[in-house]
Amino acid sequence: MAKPWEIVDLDPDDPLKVSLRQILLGWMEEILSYESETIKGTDLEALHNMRISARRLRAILKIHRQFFPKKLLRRQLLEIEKLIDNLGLVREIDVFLKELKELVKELPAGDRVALQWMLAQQQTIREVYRRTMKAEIRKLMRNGFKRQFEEFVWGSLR
Amino acid sequence: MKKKSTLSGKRLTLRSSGQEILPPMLDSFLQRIDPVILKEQRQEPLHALRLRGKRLRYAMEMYVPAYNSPFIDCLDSVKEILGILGRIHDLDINIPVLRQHVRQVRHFNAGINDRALNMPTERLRTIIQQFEEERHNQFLILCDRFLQWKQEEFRQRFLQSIQ
Repeated sequence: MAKPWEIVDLDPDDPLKVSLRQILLGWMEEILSYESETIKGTDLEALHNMRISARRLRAILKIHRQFFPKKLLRRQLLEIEKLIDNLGLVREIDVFLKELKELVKELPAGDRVALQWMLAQQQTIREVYRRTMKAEIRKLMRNGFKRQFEEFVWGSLR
Repeated sequence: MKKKSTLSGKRLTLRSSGQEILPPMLDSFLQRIDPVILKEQRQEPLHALRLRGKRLRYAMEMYVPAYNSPFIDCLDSVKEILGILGRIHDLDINIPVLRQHVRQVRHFNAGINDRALNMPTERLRTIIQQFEEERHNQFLILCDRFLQWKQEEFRQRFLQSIQ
C-alpha cells in the first residue's frame, strides 16, 4: 500500500486550518492521480491506491468535521463514499482472483477444472463491477468532483 | 447520540491537535483487542477492531510530518497489525466463497450420469483446509503481537511519541 503523498511546505506548527487545507488538497490530487490507470485496469495497485487515498481523505474529513458546514461535508462524504464503495467491490475480487490464479498454477492439470470454473465466474463478476465503477468515476469527474472539493475546502478552511 | 468533537477551542496546530485526536483513537482500538483474542472464530469483533485500526492508521499518517521517528515506529506497528487483520479478513471472505463453490460443483456433478465427467472437489476442500489453517496461524501471530505490545507498554510509547 502506497504511503500518502508528502505535502511540500507543510509546517506542523502552522494553524491547523492551514495544514489541514494543504493536506486535503494534496490528498485529493493524489486520488485523482490514480484515475486514468484505474479506469484502464492494467495496474491493480492503482485502483488499490486510489481506494486507500480516498479512505484516508474520508477519515481526515470525519475527524475534523467541526471545521466544515454540516450539509456541505455530508455532500462531500457521500461522493467520496460512492467512489470508495465502487472501488472496493472491484478490489475485493482482484485480491481473490490473484489468489485463485496462484492456486490454479500450483495444481496438476487434471485438478484445475473446478477452480478454473470459479475463476471464470469471478472474472465475469469483476467485469460487471468494473463497468459500474468506471461509469461512476466518469460521472464524478463530469460533475466537477475536484472543483467542488476544492471550493468546499477553501470555503471552510479560511 | 452524536459524537462530540475531540478538538478543544485553543489555538491548534497540526502538532498540538494530534495530542488531542490520537489518544482517544488509540484507546478505542486497544479496547477492542480483548474481545478478538477471547474468541478466535468470531468475525464481528475482528471487523470492529480492524475498522478502528484503519481509522487510527489514516489519522497517524496525517500526523507523520508533526512527530519524530518513535511515532513512525508506532505507525509501523499499527500497520503490521492491520496487515495481519487484513489477511484474516480476506480469508474470512474467501473461505465461504470456496465452500459455496464446492456445493456448486457437487450440484453440477449430481446432474451428470457419466462419473468420468465429474469435476473433482478434493483439491478445493484441501485448499479450504489450508486457508483455515492459515487463518488460525495468523490469529496466533496476532495474539503474539498484542502480547508484545503489552510487554513493551505500547500505549505509553505511543503517547510519549506525540509529546
